[in-house]
Order: sequence, then C-alpha cells, then structure tokens
Amino acid sequence: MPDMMKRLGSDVLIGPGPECLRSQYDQLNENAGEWITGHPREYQDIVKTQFDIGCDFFEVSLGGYGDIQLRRSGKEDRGPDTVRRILGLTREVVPPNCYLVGHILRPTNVQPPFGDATPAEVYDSYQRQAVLAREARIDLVRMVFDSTEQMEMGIPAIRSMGDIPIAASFSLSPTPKGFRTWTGLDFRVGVRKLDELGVRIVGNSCGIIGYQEVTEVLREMRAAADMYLWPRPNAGAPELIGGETVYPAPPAEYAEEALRWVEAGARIVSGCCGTTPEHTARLVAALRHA
Amino acid sequence: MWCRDALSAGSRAGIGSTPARHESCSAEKEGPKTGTLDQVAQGVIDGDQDGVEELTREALAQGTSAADILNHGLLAGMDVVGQRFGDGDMFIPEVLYSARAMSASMEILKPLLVGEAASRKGTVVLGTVKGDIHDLGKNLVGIMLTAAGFEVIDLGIDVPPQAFVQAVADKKPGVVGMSALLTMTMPAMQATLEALDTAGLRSQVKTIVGGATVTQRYADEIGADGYAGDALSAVAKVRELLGLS
Repeated sequence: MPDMMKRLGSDVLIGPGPECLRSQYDQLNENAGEWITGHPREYQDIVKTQFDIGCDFFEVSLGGYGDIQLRRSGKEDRGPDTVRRILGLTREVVPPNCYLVGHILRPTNVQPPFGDATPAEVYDSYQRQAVLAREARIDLVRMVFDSTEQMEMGIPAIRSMGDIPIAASFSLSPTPKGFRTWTGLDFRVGVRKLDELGVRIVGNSCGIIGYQEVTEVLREMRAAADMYLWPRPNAGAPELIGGETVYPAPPAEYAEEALRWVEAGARIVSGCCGTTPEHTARLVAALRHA
Repeated sequence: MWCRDALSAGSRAGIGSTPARHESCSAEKEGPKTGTLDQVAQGVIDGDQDGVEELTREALAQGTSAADILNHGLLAGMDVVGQRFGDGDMFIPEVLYSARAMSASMEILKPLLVGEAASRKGTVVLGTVKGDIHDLGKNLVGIMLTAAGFEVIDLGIDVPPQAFVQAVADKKPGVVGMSALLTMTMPAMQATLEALDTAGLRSQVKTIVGGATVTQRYADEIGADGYAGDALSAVAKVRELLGLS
C-alpha cells in the first residue's frame, strides 16, 4: 500500500465527521474515551461502517484523554492507556488500503498567558502524544496551531520521536481583519511558517467559518504556499431546534461545496462538528465520481 | 494596530505575543504619555503587569485616590483594550495580559476601595457545563470579571447542574455564568437552568451563557438572562444584569 503522503499526489482521501461517534456517547452522557473502552465492539462497528461508506482513513485523538490539560484539570485518569486501547481497537479494523490518523491535542489552556506550563512541559506533552502515534503506527498526525510559537515548539517535538507525516490545521474565526486564529494569527502567515518548517499539508478545522467561506480560505492558503490542503469545516453554524442541536448544512450541499475545495487544492476532505455519516457518504459520492 | 508581527516570533513559553514585545510597538504608535494615570492606562494597554503595579503604588504615594486610579487609569486603559479588541487590532492573549495587569493593580487598590465601587460589584459563579472540559473562554471571563472588581467563584470544568445549584445556594451570587465549547454539551446549560428552577433559585440569580458555539438565539431559547460572545462583552453584560452599567 502506498503511504498516505504518496497517495495525495494522485488521490483525494476522504475521512469521516465526528458525529458518527458523538451520537453514541452523548446519549449515554459519557465522554468518548469512556464510551469507546466500555463498548469496544460497538465502537469497532462504527469505525468499520465509515470505511464501508468509503472513507480512506479514521482519525483518533492522541491527547484528548491524557494531556497536561486534563492532568491539571484532575482528569488524569483518562490517560495514555485509554488512548492506546482506542488506537488498538481502531487499528484492528482499518482495512489494508486505508489509514489511521492521529489528532495531536495542543495544550493551549495551560500555556501562558492562560497558565504557567513551562516550555519543557509543553514539549513533553507533544512528545507523549508522538510516542502514542509511533506505537500505533499512525500514518499521519493532524496538529491544530494557534500561533507560530506553537509550530516552532510542536513540530520539532513530534519529529524528535520519529518520521511521522504532519498535517496542520487552523481553527479560524471572523475578525475585522479577516479570518484569524483566536490569538490573531493570520492563516496566510501561518501557512508560510509551516512551509518553512517543512509541513506539506495544511487546512482548516472547526472554528467559526461557514463551509462555503472555507473555499476562498483554501485558495488563499494555496497562494501562500504550494501545499496539500485539508478542509475540515463544520456543517454550518449550530441551531437549537426542538431542544436538539442541529447543524443546518444539508449533506448534498456540503458535498457540492467540497468539489470547489478540491478545485482549490484539497487532497484530504473530512468534516468537523455536525458532519454525519450521511455527509461522508455524499462526499464519497461527489468526490469519487468527480 | 499593535505589533501583529510579534505573534510570529518570540517566546516559546506562550501561545501568543508577550508584553515585553509590545512595548516598542505601543510607544511608537501611541507616543509618550504624561501623568501617572496616563501611564497606568498605557501600562494596562501594554499588558505590563509589573509596570502597572509600580505605577499604582507611585500614584497612591502621590496622593491620588484609589477611585481615580481605577477610573482614570485602569478602566481608561481597558476601554482602549476593548475598542482595539472590537476593531480586530488586539486578540485574546493581549487582552488577557491587559486584564492581568489591571487585576494586579486591583489587588493593591481593593483594600482602599472598601465602601466604594469595588465592594458593590457582587459575586459571579462561573463554570464549564457538564460534559465539557474546555475552559479557555471561561477562564478569560473570570480574569476579566476579577479585574473589573467582581468576586469570581470558579467551579471549574465538567460542572454538573447540581454543583451550580449548590454554589448558588451557598454563595448567593448575583450572576451564574455557564460556558460550553461543544454543541453536544450546550444542552447542559438548559439542564442547569432547569435545576436552578427546580431548586427554587432561578428567580434569585441572573444567568449568562457563552462559548464558541453559543449564540444569542440559543440563550433566548433556553431562557438565559444574558449572552456574551466574548470576555469583554461578558463583563458588560454582567454589569447590565446587575444594574451597574
């Protein structure tokens, strides 16, 4: 099987949105780690279903249950062993021609100016997650960056633990100066910095940005540096309808916009909040037959 | 505009820019200020905590009243911060440094302000609702409220409705603030409001909600008394709810 980076030269790879899992553990009022480890077969069935729909990869959080954010919040019980267990369960059902992607959690809340974590603690946090990625033979890690300082810290930390391909995401919000990260980083500045650091995949994830607005952001990212693009937008802005949180983007329209993402240079496409297996199925139908 | 380039280089310890890197930028853009209170205001804008503390003591030694330092130094500086934040010329890290500078000065002024404005501000209970562990926005609101003279009781993250109820019963705050980042945890805000209602406490406290995915419309639908889209507007909304503005 070609490695994931090589595939990007010729294919568009598709991944699932998080709602395929959330609907399960939300009903049980549990967090994802608790639900998955308590329901391993059900979890694996969900993962397998995403591949049956046509996904090329599945993404697992590497730090959501063991990072210093949680350690300092008294949630240290959701530690690396939980992540290892989830990675193992996932790896078992990833088909031979598909991939396992890891999400590296950034320790935003404990870094200055919010907290007093030292650079060494932050570096170690990234390294701990990289160790988990290496152990699980992760094909690609996705890192969200708020600032260039995080890039200068996080990327070398991951690379210090092995040659793991890195994709970078920005969570963008509208400001009077255009779409920025919450620290004020202009995503075009960020893309150029990532290019300097040798990262070859960049995109957006979540944030307060419409899935249609992402298309222009992708074009600007591509203009800033010649990199593979990975859009990962929400399915619109959430609304409360009948007591339920609803994301308004119809799967067909979301998938139609995805064609423009690919035209802009997207080589990986997946979704964030509100994207369901139905959205994924529509993405597969639209992008596989484009 | 502040030195946005500062966000592209510098400290590896933090997420964004630091006060030290602001100094040359702000001095260049703002020009020299005269008078200790102007310097206090500028120090708040620059997020220069040590400088603001020193200037606060200096102003007191000169005979300036605590109320004047608060109103014409600290709050004047924060007004500029709020304006720049709204204009997209400052972002959360810089606002936080400014809030911390103000908060440090308030620690010096508080004992002197007893019986004045600070003692009238009231208490706010804050928490990230059950199921949600994101506390960045909630922490920022807490710091801003503290800087503005409120007593803040932070219940932390993943706070069940009953913990909010208990805090309201025990601490008798004027306002309860609930934060959620995830849409899947937003319904816990409604559950908390219902728990307050069931406990017979709903009419005794004002409620405010916020978080990246929370909207005014959502706040209206669940019956919260207020909504704030960012930390600065949260302070304004709390003031409004308590009749202080």
